[in-house]
Amino acid sequence: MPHARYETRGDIGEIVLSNPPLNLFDATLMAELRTAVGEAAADAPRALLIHAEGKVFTAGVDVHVFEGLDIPAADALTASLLELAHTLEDMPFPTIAAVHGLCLTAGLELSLACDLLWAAEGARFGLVERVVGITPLMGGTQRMAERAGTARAREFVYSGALYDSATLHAWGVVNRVVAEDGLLESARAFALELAAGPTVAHAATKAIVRAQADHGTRGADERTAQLTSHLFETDDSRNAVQSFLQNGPGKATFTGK
Amino acid sequence: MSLDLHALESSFDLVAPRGDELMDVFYARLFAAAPGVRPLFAQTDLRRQKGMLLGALVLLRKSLRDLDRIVPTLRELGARHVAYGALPEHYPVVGEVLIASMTEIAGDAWLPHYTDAWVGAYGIVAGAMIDGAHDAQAPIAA
Repeated sequence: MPHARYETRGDIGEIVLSNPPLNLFDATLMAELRTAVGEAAADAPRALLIHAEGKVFTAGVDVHVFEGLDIPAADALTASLLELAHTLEDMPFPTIAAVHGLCLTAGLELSLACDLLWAAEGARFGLVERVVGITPLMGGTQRMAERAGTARAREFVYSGALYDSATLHAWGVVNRVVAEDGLLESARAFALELAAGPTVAHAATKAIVRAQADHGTRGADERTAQLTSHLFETDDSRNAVQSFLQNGPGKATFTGK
Repeated sequence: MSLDLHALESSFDLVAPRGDELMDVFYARLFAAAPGVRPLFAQTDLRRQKGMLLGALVLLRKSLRDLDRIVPTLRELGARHVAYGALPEHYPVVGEVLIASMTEIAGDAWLPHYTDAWVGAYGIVAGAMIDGAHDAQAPIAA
């Protein structure tokens, strides 16, 4: 059985970590995860959900991966991990991570490369790289800082402590906290709802948020027309404008074209 | 046209466990066979590109028995490749290099009829992608 796989469900794609009990990020899981992300990029579903089988999302990276690395090998590992995060982050459709149980190191960094993070009540999160004398390699520190602020990011990584869903929700890292037994169902329903929407517009929204993070508010302003004007020539917008004028708001359906 | 699904699946499963190596061989062979395409990848992270191509091939492998489902995806993929600078004349060399790369990776386990099966399958894939590319360009030409 694969340790990570891509599958489709209606208009959404799903990447599933499937190496319980711990879903450890070993060489096999990381290779299969890269392929699964590549499959998702090629398939271009209208939304993507990432979740995991078993009692925990992941206990993080298999420490054997770090054993005996020299600087060139570490450079290559970091480049490979960041490339995975960037591929996911650049996908032009909404992405959601649904996290339960425990979510450590690369698993949290993978989740932070998604647009939205939904967490089960009782889930615990940590960037615990300090335990093996390193610091996160897959962009988790900077993405935690982007969402929660620099002081919290420093605390989170310096301490290597586990933080619960409620704390990360209060910090703005987690979008929603839901009961664990309903997490997958509710996150999937939300992904399907997004996928049924004007997904070309969602891609533009995503690009504007990215522009704001990378270039500041005025930088995003400078790019807004370039990122949005084509929307008026989409079938979805033209049909929705007519639907609005003829039948009022909320009646339009969208195809993602 | 009927595809030899068993040959396609068996042959891909031979090379899939060495997917990273397959991608390394593919791009090395591609740039050797068609140096003119190299500039198309100038702004591309080749590591990412390799992951995406391997992902697309795995997606194709999983969809061989339900090709109708993947044809729209292939057309959209072809449409997106217009922006990357891909031209219809690039498709044959990519197919030849891909099959040669799979043959190299599989070694003695590669059977002659696997090549025939992949020539047929690649023809369908390339056809769908070129159709998608044509559709994407149509509004500009009109």
